[in-house]
Amino acid sequence: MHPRRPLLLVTAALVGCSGGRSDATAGPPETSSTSTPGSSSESGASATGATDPDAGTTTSVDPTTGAPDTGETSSSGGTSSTGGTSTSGGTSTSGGTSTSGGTSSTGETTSGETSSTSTSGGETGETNGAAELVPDFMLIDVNSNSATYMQPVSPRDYLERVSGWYYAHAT
Amino acid sequence: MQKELDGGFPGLGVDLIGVNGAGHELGVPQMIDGRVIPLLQDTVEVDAWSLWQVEYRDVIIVDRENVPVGVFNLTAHDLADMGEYETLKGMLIDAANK
Repeated sequence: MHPRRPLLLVTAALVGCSGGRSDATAGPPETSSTSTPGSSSESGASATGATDPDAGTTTSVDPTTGAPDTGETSSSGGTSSTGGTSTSGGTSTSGGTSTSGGTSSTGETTSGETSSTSTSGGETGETNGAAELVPDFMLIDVNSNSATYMQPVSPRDYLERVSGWYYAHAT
Repeated sequence: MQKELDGGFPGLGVDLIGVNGAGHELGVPQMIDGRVIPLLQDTVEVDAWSLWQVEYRDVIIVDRENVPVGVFNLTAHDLADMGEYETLKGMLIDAANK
């Protein structure tokens, strides 16, 4: 008789505890995993939306300051930035290439204007993508009618101006 | 075209430059006849043609940051055709207006 009572008590206690644990462990992750995207698209939309373009390239950028994460909100920031990526992934097609542009624009738009952030990121991306200078050289101008006759001329002499370089030779 | 750009769009800041192929120095008098734009004589050592990976009669349009923004080949697009002429001029003006 006596041995049964402690066993029952222990069993009851274990059942009660395990039931509580299973609820406690299973509940919050499911809730958080489903609520995170929802919250990012609702209440957290401004902050996470602003970092959407950046999230694709600079996931460590703090959404409010534009600076690297300090760790204080790293877990929630990481979650929201991931959610932000999926939210605005369709609109910020060129945001993936504009690393520096996206970061700076995020710093400016802390209030969170998703459209303006992604637009500026796209422009920056285009610029960065094509920003390879023509190879430099130095050749002598042999046109006696030209103002730079017999002077060395380089493409870099035409910085701040638009130039058309005609490659030809007399046949 | 240089005179037209300078006269019609003062302050636009567009310059045309010719680059004569290395080994074709004898053709310089023919190329500069009636022209005031610089004509740079390429050399085997510099080989600007290979550096820029151009084809014969390419016009490479370079923006204010020295970045190439367009190519217009005068063999494929004869400037005797006014439409082609205007297209090239438009490309230069567009680059200058950006």
